[in-house]
Amino acid sequence: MAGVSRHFGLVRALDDVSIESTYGEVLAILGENGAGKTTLMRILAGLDQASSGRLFKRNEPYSPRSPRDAVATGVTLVQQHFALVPTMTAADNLLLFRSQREVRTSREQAATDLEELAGRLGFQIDPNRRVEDLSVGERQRLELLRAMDSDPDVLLLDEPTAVLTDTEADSLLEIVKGLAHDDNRSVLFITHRLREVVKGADRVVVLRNGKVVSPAAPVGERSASQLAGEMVGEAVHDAVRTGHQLGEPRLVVENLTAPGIGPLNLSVRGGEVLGVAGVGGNGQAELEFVLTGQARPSTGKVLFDGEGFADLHPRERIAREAAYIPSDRDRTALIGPMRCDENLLLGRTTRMARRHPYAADLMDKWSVRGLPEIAANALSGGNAQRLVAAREMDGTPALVLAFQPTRGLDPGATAFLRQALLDMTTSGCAVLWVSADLDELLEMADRMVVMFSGKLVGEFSPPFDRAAIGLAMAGVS
Amino acid sequence: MTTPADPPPATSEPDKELQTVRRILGSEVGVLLGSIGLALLVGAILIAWAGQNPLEVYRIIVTESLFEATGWRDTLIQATPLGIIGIGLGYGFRAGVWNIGAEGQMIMGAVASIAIITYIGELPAGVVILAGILFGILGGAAWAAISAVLHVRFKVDAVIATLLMVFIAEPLLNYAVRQPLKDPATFLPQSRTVGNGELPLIPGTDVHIGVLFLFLLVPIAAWILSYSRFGYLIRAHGANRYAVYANESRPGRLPFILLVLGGALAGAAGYIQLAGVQMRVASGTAAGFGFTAIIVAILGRNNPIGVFVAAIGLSAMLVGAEAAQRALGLPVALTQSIQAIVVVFVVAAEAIEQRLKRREGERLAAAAELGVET
Repeated sequence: MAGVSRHFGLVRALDDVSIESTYGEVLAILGENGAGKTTLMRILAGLDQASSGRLFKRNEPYSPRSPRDAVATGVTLVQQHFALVPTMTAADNLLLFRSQREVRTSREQAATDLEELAGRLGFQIDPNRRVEDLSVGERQRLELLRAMDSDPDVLLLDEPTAVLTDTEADSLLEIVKGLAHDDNRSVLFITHRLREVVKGADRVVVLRNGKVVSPAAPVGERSASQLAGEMVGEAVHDAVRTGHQLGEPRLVVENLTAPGIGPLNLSVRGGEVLGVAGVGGNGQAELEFVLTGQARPSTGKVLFDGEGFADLHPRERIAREAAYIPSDRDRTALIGPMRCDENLLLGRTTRMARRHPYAADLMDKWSVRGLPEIAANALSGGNAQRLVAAREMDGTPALVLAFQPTRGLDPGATAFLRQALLDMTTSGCAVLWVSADLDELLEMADRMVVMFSGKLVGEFSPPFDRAAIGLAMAGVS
Repeated sequence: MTTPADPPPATSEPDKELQTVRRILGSEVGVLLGSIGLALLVGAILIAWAGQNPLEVYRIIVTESLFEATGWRDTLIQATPLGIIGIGLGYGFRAGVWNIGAEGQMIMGAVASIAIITYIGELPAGVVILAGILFGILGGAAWAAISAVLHVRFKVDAVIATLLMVFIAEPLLNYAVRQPLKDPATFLPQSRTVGNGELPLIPGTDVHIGVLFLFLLVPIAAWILSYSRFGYLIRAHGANRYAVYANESRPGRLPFILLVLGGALAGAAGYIQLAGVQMRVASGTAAGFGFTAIIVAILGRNNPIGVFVAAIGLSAMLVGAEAAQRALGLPVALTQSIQAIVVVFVVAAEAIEQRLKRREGERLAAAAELGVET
């Protein structure tokens, strides 16, 4: 693409961007949230049109008017947000995106195709399960499979491994590399994770504020810290553990079972961060629902400060100062079309009439960039998560239940959220931190347990043995 | 979109967003007016085809329903049950709870009213009227509560749970006016008259005071929806019920309340129509108001003020079209077709508008990502 710009009103999301990728290579486009990466991908995939500039594919002008157009020319996109039909099975979702002619494929054939594709990409998926029963991680994998189904020669990936664990991500990146190198495809992926760039890409381009700040160059030519500096334009400060005392056990889970999980036993002490590591889809979602009253446990107890906790009404949970950062922010935490100030009222006792000044204060205090009156779905991921954190963690929570709190966030917001969660512990708050990002937990947790197939399969204390935890996550005990 | 208490935006960047919001609102009214205009144009073709002058027909509809004294009266009186029921249904629709059984809830409200009025009819008018409206509300609410239990407890789809109760309410009504509530003075299947329960007229007019109930209800309902906690929950539930269930209330609680509230308002409308217009209950007492109110709620975008406008508009169309039929000998089917065309166009306009909004929303989101984040 040459000199491509995209304006939204007066805002330049992309400003004179020129990028060239070649067949047989993986090109990473590195940038923070808001750098213009997603806009760029949308233009390439035919979801949006450039305001000016031109695109070329194999030296031919390329100007897709729709995603279908793009797919027909061999360009497919795996989007960051899921575009799956929840009530249909995985295999039916595959069929749904095939062209008219191929839709005649039988369901059995589609199921076989899906399993075969999955096998090639190195994971398993049950083609007959409905998407709504799949975890977020499994849905992400299904999206990847679906894009590969049309056998594109240009594959676009938007934050492909955001929900995958290290091992999954590595194997995915290996396969992506194979697709590029062996089958002579061109793969472009956008990311803000340096690790992916180093492991998965041949060349890398850095975008910031809609501009190319560093042209495509082989990955090895620049160090990780150089790239990070170019991406964020400033040094990223890691969260700092402050000295803190561990208190008595506050959250205690005894012999808890529910469909898909258990029996589980764990306890979190006051001032402690208990990390729950594990590959996505190993019961974390079920644990989340049971702990937050969205599903009932079959047997067992959840006690918080000695009192029953699992079957509380949401308002009772909030009254007991238990903060909840859900893994699916758009579904469980925020009401996208509603204003930020109204989102901050959810579950709180603040009066409607006070919502605006209340929100202005909170948003300022928690560095949410935006205004109380704009819709929550107009915020970027990082700001939306800060908004959730502001609502849930302002004041002095006694317990924080955080599920994938930094997933998909830019480095700035990630550091902010991590620090905020750590700060909670200084006042004796117990923090349960479920994450698929092992590096995050290695750095943040006082203690770690690993979830596999709905069970807790190992407990680890610092200094953490990364290899041992990795094995536990892979189900090797 | 903003409350008067909102301070002026601090920076120019979000100011632009507010302007965009205003532009969307501007387009909403524009799309609505455009769609009504188009519908009238298509209607004009139909009228001309039937050999009449479209302008003359429209002139009669407008003057007879809005400018003649009797037209105004009829328009207001017909709009009253439509508006009252429409507001209740609109609350539900706004939250994604599809109560389409208001017809039955209105019937049961009227039946409960006439039952208590028949029983205590000799008491002073004030007492009888209060008892009548109270029982109307209770009758409608109780009937809706059955649907609500089916929906919330037994997971029956709300559309089915509410609609099927209509077909039980109708034969119950027919039974009531033939047996327990039958007026012994006549041979017709109808109840006694409301007697002391009759709604008085607004002094100086020949419009019953039930109309004031609508005028009172509209601002209150609009305020509740925009500025109260309850209204907030309704909007939140409609936009993302899962977030509400995770943070505010147990699943099903709000749908239950909204179904019962819709029934209560339909029952109140049942009493008002009974004591203000019909004077007694007979078969067909709801006369389709409960179903027409669904259209009123949808046309009014489930917003009390919009519902009020839609109720007046639809009522005026009904009244005016009737006058046009009488004056020009137009076939009933023709005027009904024009009404239907207007409804279809306005609903289609909403779909178009949603699309515009979505596109605008995407643009806004991308702009916010850059303008607000970086």
